[in-house]
Amino acid sequence: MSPRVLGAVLCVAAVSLLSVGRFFFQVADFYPKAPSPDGVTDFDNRFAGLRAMLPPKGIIGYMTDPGTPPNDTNAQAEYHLAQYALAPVLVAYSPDHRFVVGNFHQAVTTGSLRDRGFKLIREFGNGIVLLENEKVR
Amino acid sequence: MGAWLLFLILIVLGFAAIRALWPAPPRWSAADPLRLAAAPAIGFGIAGCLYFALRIVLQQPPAIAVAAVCVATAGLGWFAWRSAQSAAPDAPAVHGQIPFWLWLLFGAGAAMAFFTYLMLTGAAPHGEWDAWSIWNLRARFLFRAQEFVSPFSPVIGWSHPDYPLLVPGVIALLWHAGGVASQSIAAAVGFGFLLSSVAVPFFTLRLLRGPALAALGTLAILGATSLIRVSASQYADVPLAAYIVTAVCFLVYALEVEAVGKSVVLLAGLSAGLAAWTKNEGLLFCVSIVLAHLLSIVHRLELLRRLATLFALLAGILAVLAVAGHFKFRMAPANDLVNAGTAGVAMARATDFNRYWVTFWAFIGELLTFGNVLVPPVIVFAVWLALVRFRTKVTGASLLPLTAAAIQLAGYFAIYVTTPQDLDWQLNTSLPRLLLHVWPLVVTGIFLISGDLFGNRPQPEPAQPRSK
Repeated sequence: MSPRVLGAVLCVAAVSLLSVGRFFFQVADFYPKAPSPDGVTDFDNRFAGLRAMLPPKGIIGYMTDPGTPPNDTNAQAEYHLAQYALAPVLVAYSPDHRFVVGNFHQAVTTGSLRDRGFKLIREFGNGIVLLENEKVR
Repeated sequence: MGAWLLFLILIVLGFAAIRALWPAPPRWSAADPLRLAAAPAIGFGIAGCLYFALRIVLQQPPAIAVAAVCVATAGLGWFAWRSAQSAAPDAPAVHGQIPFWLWLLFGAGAAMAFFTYLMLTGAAPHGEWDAWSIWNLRARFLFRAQEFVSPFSPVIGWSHPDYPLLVPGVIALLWHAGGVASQSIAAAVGFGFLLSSVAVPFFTLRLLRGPALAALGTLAILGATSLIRVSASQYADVPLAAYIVTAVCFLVYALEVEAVGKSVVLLAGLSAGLAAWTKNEGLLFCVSIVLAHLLSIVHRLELLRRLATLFALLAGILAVLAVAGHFKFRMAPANDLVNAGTAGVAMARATDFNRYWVTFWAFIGELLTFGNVLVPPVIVFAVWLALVRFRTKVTGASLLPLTAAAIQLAGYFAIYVTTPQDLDWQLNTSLPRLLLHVWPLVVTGIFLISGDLFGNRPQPEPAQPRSK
């Protein structure tokens, strides 16, 4: 094999192998520290009790902590994950439905919810509640 | 257990379908590794189409869809067996020398890629954002729903209900077979597509250019580690890349080894059609492959052969587009890019020079940082081609992959320029994945036109056309 050919082969092989190797060691370093169960599985499990209560189709509202900006990335992700957990029931990011899922990170009292027109149907722990919007009957 | 059994049946289905259309003698044949490499993608694709037709359109119980897949496997297997009795042998692969150390490097790269995929899947078994907000979400809807209106409701417009259903469909089918929505199955489907996107170029290059260039080319494909990361993220971009490279590899093989006949061109068309049933960008690829088929010509005589095989290519594409078209026109809401504004608004964007400028520099930037490769691939391949030079005889067929990739990228460029979404956001969130669609294709194309390095013997005379 001529030096020219060897150089060409080594150029491609070395760059490719080092790229794969670098990524492999980055992931191998991170993998043992990854949370177990992962965030999505954990989130899914939080909604398991609620999903068991829901019918096989329909629309349910969704609300989270008061004052959360509408374009908050974490809030968007949690809403998408709530839909992922509760499918095939449709989850609308709006409290204007008769039944509403609450996903709260801050303490919310039953009284404050009642003041806003929501009746607590059931609490599932970890901030997940099923509410009835008394203004939408 | 049922899901894993059906998973294996789908690979058999893919292999049987390819052998039915591209027959070879019953014993293991020279091109069988290529057939097997494409089998996961083709098998998943056929199953995805059957699932859509039976479960979603005709609303049959899941067991009927599972049974239909098994019957299709048996039927195609029987047809492949019958065709094999009178089939001529495959054209032998190019024989060449490959240094042992190159095999070692290739093996090390492939092994590290495999274990990286496993670790990423273990850390995020549901995949990343687009997986659980689009693809696996849709699979859950299909698996759990008793009706097929909710999965495409505008209430969840953010989940792009107009996106094609091949990937969610095949995952839902396997979940039905197993009775449970297992994330291991979704990850295995993702791995099947990753395998096809890497193994199809390897075995095509091995058949046409010898094992050394095949090993080197495949190592280069794996060098873009975003391929492994995006695949483990369970996005549909790697399945799309698998169909794109499979379609072009089959087409190039059919054009370079003329004895295989038009049925391999039909397979290429089917694979292109399956790309359209995987992601909307696949619709653009159907145009790209047809244009590349007609344009990548270096001799006038080639044009006649291209025209003669065009019908087979179009027939394959249209067979699957019928499924995608039924979904698009009868069930899916309008696409957000298509449905966002009047023609006048689109024209205003198309005549805004600044949008071209921004998009151009985003493409340049991404080409320099693509795939998390240590050195920009543009530089690596420039050095490679400068050292090895081009083949002494570059055929039109060997130019086809790069032509198709160029047309596809030009299409992406035009879509970015006219997108109704915020251009910077759109470029930042999607351009790396869109370039990934053509990455295996581009690498295959570069190695097809590269000079012969390892003293490969010329390919023997192709087999005689088979007679029935």
